[in-house]
Formats: sequence, structure tokens, C-alpha cells
Amino acid sequence: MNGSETCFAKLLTSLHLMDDLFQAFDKAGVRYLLIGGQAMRLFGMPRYSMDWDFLIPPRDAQNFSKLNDVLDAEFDVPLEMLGPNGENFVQTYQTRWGVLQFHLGIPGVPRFDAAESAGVIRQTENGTAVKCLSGPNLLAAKKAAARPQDQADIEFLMELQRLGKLT
Amino acid sequence: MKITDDYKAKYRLWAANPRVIAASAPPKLPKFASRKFSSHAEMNEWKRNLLREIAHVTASHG
Repeated sequence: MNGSETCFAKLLTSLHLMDDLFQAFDKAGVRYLLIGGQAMRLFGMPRYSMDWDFLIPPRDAQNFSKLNDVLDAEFDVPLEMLGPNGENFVQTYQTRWGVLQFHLGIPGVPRFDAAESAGVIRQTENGTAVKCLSGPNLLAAKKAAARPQDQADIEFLMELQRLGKLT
Repeated sequence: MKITDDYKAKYRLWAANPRVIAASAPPKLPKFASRKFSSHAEMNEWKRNLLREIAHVTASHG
């Protein structure tokens, strides 16, 4: 473990809340966008989710290195880049904060760089800034996934859109 | 029609006044190792099985 990794590992032991992890991501310069049910919650929908879903760039080696450094003490195996045949497209970890899922792509949404440019900052209930997929992209992703459990999310996002609040 | 008869009413109420509710504590799940999937379909299938397993464990413990 090098000096930087030791620093992150020490930092991790002090992370109690998910907010602390988001702050560690920001400090390390991790590129991510929160998606899924937890993003819906930060858009103002009273909703439960047991997962924290993240969209991350699929082949940014430096970003994988940063993520693996920050989460070294939680991961049994490191996060890996997208393989040539689509391997590692979704990677799931059980952590102290719940289940963390890293998605290297999601249906209905442009490539990561474009999604990141359109991304929005939302705040947790504790006021921590979190980078989220934009509202229109979140709606597009939910529509593309078209799972029964996405219907309520779609209804809520479409209502935000109707009110001109979907950013 | 009463507002309670309109199942979409809640979305209008929530969207008119969006509020971030506190995140719930993570559920107590059976311990599992990290998993890597090649598609969302593969991941969703694994998740369905995990939820089924949790339901069976919960049911067997009354």
C-alpha cells in the first residue's frame, strides 16, 4: 500500500455516513453520477432503496484507481474496467453503507462524458453535495429500463417535468 | 372523485413540493461476496434470487 492508499484507507475508517463517502469521493476527485432509487430520493421523491447506484466512466483507469483507493478497506476484490466482451458492466459490493452498485453504462443515457456534463448537484438530507444524473437523463434511463418497479419513478419525474422542475 | 381515489395524486403532491427524506438504514442482508455482471438482465436475475432467498429466510423465522 503506498502513501496515498494508506491515507485513503485511514480516511475510510472514519467514514460513518454515506455523506462521508461522498465527501471522500469529492476529495479524491472521483468521477461518478448517482443514479437509481437514491437519486430519485434526492430529487424529492419519498422513496426507499437498499442500493446506492453509481454510473462511472467505463474505461477511465485513473478513476478506477481513485475509487479502489477510497474503498480499499470495503472491497474484497477491486472494481475493474469494462472488459472487451462487456465483462464487469455492473459490479456489486456489500458495504457498511448498504449495497453499492457501479454501472459502467445504463440504457437510455448517452456516454458518461456527456451525462457528466449534463449532471446536476443535489444535496442529501444533511446538506452534502452529490453529483447526480440529470433529471431528463434519469427519466430517459427509467423509460429505457421499463421495469414494473420504475413506473412510479417515471410518474414522479414526468410530473416534475410538467411543472418545469426537471433539471 | 376524491383525491384518495386518484393514484397519481401523490406524484402531483410530491412534485409540487419536493423534499429529501432521510435515507433508511441499510437492511440486514445475508453476507455475500462482490459480484460482477455482464448485463443488467444478469444483475436483475441475481437480485431477484437474493430477494427470494431473503423472503424465505424471513418467512422461516416467523
